[in-house]
Amino acid sequence: MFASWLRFGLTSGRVTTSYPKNREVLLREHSSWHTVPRLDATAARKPTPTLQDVKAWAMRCPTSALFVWSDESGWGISLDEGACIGCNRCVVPNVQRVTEWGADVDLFALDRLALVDSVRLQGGDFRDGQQK
Amino acid sequence: MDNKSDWNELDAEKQAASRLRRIFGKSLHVRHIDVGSCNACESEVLALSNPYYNFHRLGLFFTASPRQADVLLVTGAMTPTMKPILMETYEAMPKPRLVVAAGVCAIHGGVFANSRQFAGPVESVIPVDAFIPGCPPTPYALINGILAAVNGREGVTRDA
Repeated sequence: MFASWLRFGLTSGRVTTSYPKNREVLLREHSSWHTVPRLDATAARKPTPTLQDVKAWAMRCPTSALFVWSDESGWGISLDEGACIGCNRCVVPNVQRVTEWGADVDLFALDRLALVDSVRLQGGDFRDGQQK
Repeated sequence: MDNKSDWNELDAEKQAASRLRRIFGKSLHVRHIDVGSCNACESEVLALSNPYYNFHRLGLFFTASPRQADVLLVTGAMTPTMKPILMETYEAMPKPRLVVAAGVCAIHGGVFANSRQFAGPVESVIPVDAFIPGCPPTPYALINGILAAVNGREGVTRDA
């Protein structure tokens, strides 16, 4: 066993270890690690968060990684994972689970804009505390 | 995010290793520079070379000199004092050269973004090939980001 390990290592130019076997195992073994939150756009949220709730979460962010945006048809929030320090302030009060801890312990991006995630929370008028 | 590679899978690892050998020779040397970090990122970078993460198995090594480096790993919120030093380090590296910005401070500034002593993100000074978020990023993310930077520059030539 040692001879095969040594031979493989020498021929491939690498030190060979059996750990970790694959990425799924890695993520499962480190599921308790908290690195960067993510926005969950698919989860059914009851009650639906109001704009006041979302603004309160955004105000808690010390680096402005979480921010509220609006357009003609409604409003939503964006999370800049490149600015998030994982302070947990937006996750704890968020009973609607719009922001949750991400499971990706090996997160990276080749493009800066790829780190910005957005989710539309409400179509219609952009008014404080009002939802259509 | 859908741009993550399964670097732990053997096929992907072999492909990354073969690309790495073709572009950079038999190994990839990383020059780490701290441009104003709190040392949280440094503790994670240091963990790369321990037996648990063991990034040497992929042919990655740290080097002390930018003259021998292929990858510039930048951590920390860049201060005005470190800005010209970072540029000199980048200029001292032989081509082709890759830059990886690791940690929120290097990408955005983090809690120091509004500080008078923050000179801007690394991307504002030198071109960045991979961004690794996190405060601090995990060693897995650092390895993944470095390999992704190599994969992203597949068509690179020695003049790049």
